[in-house]
Amino acid sequence: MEEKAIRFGAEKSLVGILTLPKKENRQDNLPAVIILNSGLLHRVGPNRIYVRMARELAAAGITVFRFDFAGVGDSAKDNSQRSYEERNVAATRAAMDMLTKKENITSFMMTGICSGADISFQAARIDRRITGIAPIDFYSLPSTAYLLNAYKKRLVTPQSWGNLFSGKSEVFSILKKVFTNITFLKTATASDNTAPNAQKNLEADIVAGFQELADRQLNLRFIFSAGSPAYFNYQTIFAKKVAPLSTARKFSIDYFETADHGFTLQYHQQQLIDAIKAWASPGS
Amino acid sequence: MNVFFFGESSKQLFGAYHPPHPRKDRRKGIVLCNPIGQEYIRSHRSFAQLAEKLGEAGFHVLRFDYYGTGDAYGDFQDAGPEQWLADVSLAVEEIQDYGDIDSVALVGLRIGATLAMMAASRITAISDLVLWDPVVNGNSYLQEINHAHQHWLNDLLPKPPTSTLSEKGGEVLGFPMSKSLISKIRSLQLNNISGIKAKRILLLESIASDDFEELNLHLSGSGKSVSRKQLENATIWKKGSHLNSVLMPNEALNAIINWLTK
Repeated sequence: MEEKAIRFGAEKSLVGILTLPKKENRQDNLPAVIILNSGLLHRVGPNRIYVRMARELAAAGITVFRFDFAGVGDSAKDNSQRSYEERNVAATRAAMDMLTKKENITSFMMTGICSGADISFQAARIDRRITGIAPIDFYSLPSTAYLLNAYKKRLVTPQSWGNLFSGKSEVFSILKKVFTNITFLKTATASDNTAPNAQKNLEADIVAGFQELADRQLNLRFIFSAGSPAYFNYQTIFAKKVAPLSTARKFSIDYFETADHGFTLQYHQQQLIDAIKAWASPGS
Repeated sequence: MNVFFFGESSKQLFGAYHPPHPRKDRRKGIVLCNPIGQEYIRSHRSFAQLAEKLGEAGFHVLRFDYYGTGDAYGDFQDAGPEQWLADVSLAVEEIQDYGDIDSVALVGLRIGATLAMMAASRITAISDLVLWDPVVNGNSYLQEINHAHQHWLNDLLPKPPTSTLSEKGGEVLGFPMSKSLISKIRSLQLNNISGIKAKRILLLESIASDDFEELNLHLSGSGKSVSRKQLENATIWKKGSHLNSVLMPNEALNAIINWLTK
């Protein structure tokens, strides 16, 4: 394995690490894998998972590139007027251009946790060089089930209910959040573009996007951790509305029932890396 | 900024060099010494910002990842303080070559501060030392991060598989800890370090700890002049309810820059 630090994109403002397999081990028939930032965490990923992931994929013969979006880690800020999604999708395309130029690679797969998952999904919709995506905890919508779970511990402790009588309790504010969300979802209509309906519109967009990618026969693997808000999208949106639409030959869903959103425990990290290896290198 | 790998081929370290502002070159280098593990993840953004600001103030600045951390080669559990100390020395040589300079300051946070002080007892080129919440006692540090790990586990729903840290190894806040690594960290004891070459020392404290008082006495007793500054809101390495959170302690960054530019 060999790793190189690379600056690329307009004015070389983006920074990434290229992980190359040993020459004798390189699987030239497989696409390169690009790993995308999780929120503001730099390219090593939560708990350095992306580094381990890149090196294990390279050991299986796959070229991997993990980089920082503009304003994250070592990449310079993007002062243009483009939206978060527009500039980051553009960055993934700049990464692909660079890899084609430097390594003569022409097809790519993308993965990433949380916001990285969202960008992989949107990039795949517009760039046909992308032949597969493995979004991890993608599109975290604040569903009622998520809010209830997030506050479950504080709702069920005797201390919390005891505080109710001393005026220090969070119980009312938690319940208010949950009921506000239920009302919010009930009043939304699909034809309305105002802010309260953003979630409904996003759901529709996810379903449409998924249909496009499945029809193009992308290699699709969706991964959900139980500790993420996205897990409840899996339960309420993905499993019921999206998955039944799949016409893709390669399509799978993993859900890790005890994992947190950052895949903190070593057991969960290896579970995630094994799933990504199976997706990127079917024979491994 | 320039990014690159340096060091021996099997143990390459990642480096990011921030050049000085062209009209303010102070002919002086600064090497930033990261904390490790979850504390590294939390402080990366702050250190990148600090390096940028120090470059604007006229310093040649090198950020780098020790072996087994960040983008550097190697696995975390295979590394340890001896290796990381050698990496600090290598980083000092690298910035001296890169900037064609002699004098270098070290700025370290947590175990990075511990390594910086140990390096300053060995390297004559170290002129200034910034110790930001240094780990004074390795055993206390292990207890502290293990306590944080257990606290995090207790708050987690649904319950994950059991995860503990013992003398035999285990994991802490996302990072594997081998028996050897635990043993090496446990042996860290800053109050045994003498012969510090740096002329100036800044002790930056964002937590109340008797350890800092003892360290100050130790350094003062060996004839060193120590500036102490207490700061609130600078515990980027532990603050916040979520792991992997990224915060920016501007007050601490400004205190470091102001002291180094004096």
